[in-house]
Amino acid sequence: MRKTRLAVLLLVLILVLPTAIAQDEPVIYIFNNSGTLQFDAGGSDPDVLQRVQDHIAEQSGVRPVTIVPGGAASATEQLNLLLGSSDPVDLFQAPGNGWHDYAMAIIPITDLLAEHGQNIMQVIPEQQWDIMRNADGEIMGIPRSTPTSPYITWVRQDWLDELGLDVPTTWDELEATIEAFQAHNPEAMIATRPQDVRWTTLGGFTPNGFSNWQDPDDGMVKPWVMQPGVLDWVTELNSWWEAGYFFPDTFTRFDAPELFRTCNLGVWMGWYSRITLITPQIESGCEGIAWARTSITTDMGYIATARPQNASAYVVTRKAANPAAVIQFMDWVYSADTTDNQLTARYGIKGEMWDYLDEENRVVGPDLSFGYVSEYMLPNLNIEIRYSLDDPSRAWHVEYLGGQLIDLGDAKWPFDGGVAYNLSRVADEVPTLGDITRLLDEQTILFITGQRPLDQWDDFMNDLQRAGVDDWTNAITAQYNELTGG
Amino acid sequence: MLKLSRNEKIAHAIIYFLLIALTLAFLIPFIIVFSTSFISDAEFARRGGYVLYPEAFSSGAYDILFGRSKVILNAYGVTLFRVIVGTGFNLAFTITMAYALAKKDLPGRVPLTIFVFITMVFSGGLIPRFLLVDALGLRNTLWSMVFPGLINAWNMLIMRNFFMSLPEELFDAAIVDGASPPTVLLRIVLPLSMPVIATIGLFYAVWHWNSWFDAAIYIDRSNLKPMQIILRSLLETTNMQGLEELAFIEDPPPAASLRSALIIVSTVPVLFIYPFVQRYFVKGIMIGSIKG
Amino acid sequence: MSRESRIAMPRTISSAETAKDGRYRRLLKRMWFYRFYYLLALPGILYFVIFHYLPMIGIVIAFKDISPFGGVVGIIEAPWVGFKHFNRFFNSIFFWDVIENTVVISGLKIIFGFPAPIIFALMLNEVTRLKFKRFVQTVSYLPHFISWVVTTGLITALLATSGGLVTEILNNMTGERWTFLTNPDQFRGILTLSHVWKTVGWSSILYLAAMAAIDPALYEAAAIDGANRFQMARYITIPSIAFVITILFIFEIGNLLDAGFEQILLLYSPAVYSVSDIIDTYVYREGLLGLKYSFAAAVGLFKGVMAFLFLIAANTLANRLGQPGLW
Repeated sequence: MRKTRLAVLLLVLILVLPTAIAQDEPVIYIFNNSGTLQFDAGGSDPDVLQRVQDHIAEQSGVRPVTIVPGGAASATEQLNLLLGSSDPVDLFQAPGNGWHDYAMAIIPITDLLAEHGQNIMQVIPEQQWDIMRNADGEIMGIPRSTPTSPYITWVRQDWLDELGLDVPTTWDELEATIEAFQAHNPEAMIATRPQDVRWTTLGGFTPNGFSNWQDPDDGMVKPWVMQPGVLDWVTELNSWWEAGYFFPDTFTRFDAPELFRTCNLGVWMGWYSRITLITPQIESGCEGIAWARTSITTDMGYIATARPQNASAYVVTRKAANPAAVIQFMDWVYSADTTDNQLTARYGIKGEMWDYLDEENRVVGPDLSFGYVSEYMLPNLNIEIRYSLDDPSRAWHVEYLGGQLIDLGDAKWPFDGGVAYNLSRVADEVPTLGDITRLLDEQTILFITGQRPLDQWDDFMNDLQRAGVDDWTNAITAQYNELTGG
Repeated sequence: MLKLSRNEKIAHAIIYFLLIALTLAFLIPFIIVFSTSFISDAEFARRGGYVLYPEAFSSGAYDILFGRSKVILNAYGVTLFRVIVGTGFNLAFTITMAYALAKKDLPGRVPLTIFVFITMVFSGGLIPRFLLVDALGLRNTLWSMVFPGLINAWNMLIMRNFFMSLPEELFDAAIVDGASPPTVLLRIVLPLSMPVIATIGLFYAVWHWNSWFDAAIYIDRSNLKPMQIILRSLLETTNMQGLEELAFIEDPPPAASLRSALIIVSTVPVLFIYPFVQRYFVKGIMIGSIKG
Repeated sequence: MSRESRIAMPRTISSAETAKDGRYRRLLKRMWFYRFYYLLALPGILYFVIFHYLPMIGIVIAFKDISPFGGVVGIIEAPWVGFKHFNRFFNSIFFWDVIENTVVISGLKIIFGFPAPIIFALMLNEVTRLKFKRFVQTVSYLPHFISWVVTTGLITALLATSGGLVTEILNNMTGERWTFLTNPDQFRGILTLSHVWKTVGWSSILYLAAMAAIDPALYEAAAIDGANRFQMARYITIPSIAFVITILFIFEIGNLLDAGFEQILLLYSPAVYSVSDIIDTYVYREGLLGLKYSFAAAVGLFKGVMAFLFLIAANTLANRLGQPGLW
């Protein structure tokens, strides 16, 4: 047993040492599944990549070698297998349920951060580290996500102007707006998606929005669907569906750019970047198109729910031959004083592949023709909002990232937002978790679209019991009490 | 030419009609992809990503692809290696085993067939297979795309049944004439089986061409990745819902024209394999000629 | 094609052997006589042992709780959990639902998708204009090269409830409003149709290859006897390709529990789960909730056992019908 580990270690050393000796700097291996390379599994032009690597090695004192996942859908599979292989991998992003899933494969980095990670500690706010700590208080990773409010209801500003209407601020005004839109253009419609509709509207009908809920009667933490008011929500959306407000395929499959291109979308309830990224692409086909971001309330409060930080994190593997070098490299990218390093990781060599157009305001002009596709970019919203782009197709998006996306003021904060549940443990303790998830996903949509009559809601609740929702409640409540000392 | 009766003529008319209809059904989606690869961003904004014909030809998407020609050409090279070397190995191993198992009197033939057949239904799964490839030192080599799939049991058994369907009098006669078994395989079986060998070869070649998952898990280095990996990573992002939540720092979805151009670039070359194979389908007359 | 013929046997052995150890020696002698064939099979056997039987040890994963990144050591050290993962699958309230969907969708694909390439090949076989024949053939392979990711993208675009090309045409023709991807009644039809579209040309290759091997003398003789084209197809072509039909049908039955994972994953949605959630999509979603490699292995083993039984049944049936099957 020991021997095997030793052998693996030796093998890693044998593989790593020659390169390390030849090139002075410590070499680290990054599996870059941070999601920024989705479009470019082929990687950069090899010569350009080598030059960027040399440049970074010179600047940071660490030579980073990246492994690019072969496609987003198989990236996690590839990562899991790579971790069990004989090949080196030192740093990766823990996907899915976050670092908990990988607790067996990673090391705590509290001391390393204290020694080499001053910049990282400085640019990521204190409270965002809580979810990174294990039961012993050790930091297990560097946060990947941040609290945001990405699911928002958007309304066509140009149509509002045309009809002389104001941006709606209440649910009833929103409905009136849609009616006015449809009277003006019979093809006008609302679009959303099965998950997005929960994030964007549940807040208006329930105490906690799209969030777990603590039942005051028994103190148990229960899934969102058991909140009072969910039936009202389903009933209201069903009446909207029956009224023909929705794009008919909105709860099934649709091609978002194609839908936006029809110019008939009056309201979008969902992920913000559909608006900020697709609109510039289709602008020339929809004359005058403009969107207003709404903040809508009912007597229950804001209809949107904010998305709390999750446990996804950049983590250092047990296999790492030189964990200190990994943190050193990250710390270099996350420099508190300058955006040069992170922009080098994203766009390549400064002065050649990118430069500031306006140094004061950190407006960046990248030259993408070099064929460097950001192998070294390890983003975190806290640092990505420190610069803006001089690129009409992305300027709005980047501006939005740094402003309205992180403004949580007009959304409900989930009741247990930021509580570091170990979801892997929940999945272990609730063998029927998959059944519960399917019931929730499937049945709420069937009720909304009228395929299941609303008077069967109680049957649905019974089905949930049958599927073992109490096991889930027990598991989550236990963890909630442990983690909050409640 | 045989003379056709009236009924046969009507039947033929129906057949031709149906075949033309089918051809259109096969062709139109491909034409849509092809046409879309030539539309400009402005035209996309107006007409969308699925057009039958572009109003104005724009080679923008192809310019982007060829602008990254080093990476694309390299990926092509890897794919070609797979297709040519891989298929060669596949055929050599498949033909030999299929020929042996086609011998009806071979002692142990049924147990051997079952031995192969079991691998079609039971597998150790992804992790053990990966650990094996890793232990054999095949990871991050081109051979990781060749050896793990050396023989496809399905293809092998089909080839065996083709061999079994050959008239055995031929072999008997040859052996009586003093031909050794290797001679029988090389001189009689292979020439007679060209249609099926070409077919199975085509299956293997196209399988290699279309494969991506083995490369996705066995290959970490960008310079060893085949074309399909590049294609898939681009296509997945637009079709797998919910992927965008992986990253806030998104780029705009790749233009429909770029996606289509990549499909064309990664599909059209393989169509040129087909004429080489087709020769063998038309020449199915050999049995007769040899017999005669 | 069951031709009665005997391979030239070593003629020396049959006569002078005593009964007892004779059988054993006779077998060895026969095997020696066939040594060349064993030698030919050897590389293949080694391949299957190394790349298939060796990893099969990994079936133990189904009875353990493994973490995927422990390597070989991780698998050995993982705790045994018996049939926990199997029970989890069998006890799901959706178990029968998922099985039913799998079998029905697979069944539909077999009923429509299996005869289609045979008919297509027979039709092509009747075409006398070679250029037309080649063109149709080549075009029919195109869908095979368009991956499901692209195909499903086209399907969603063409069948979109508003703006979809096909939907608009049908709406205008029938005066009704078609909702293909949302409507549970039509969803399986879409799955079947797109499956047939994608596979019919490619699957016809084997039948065409088999037809190419038919001795033209047979047709000439039939023509002299006054047979028409239908009779030739019925009495010469179909019997000559029956062995391909049989073996492909056996394989289809073996794949009954594979209803087309990628296609369904990319097309389905909660609104049609009740008619489209198959074993593989169910396992996939379970996997998203955690690293469920052991669960996936258990379901994989269950599918393997079922496939094994189906294949044996199909093969027995084929043998009863006088066709050479797998053995």
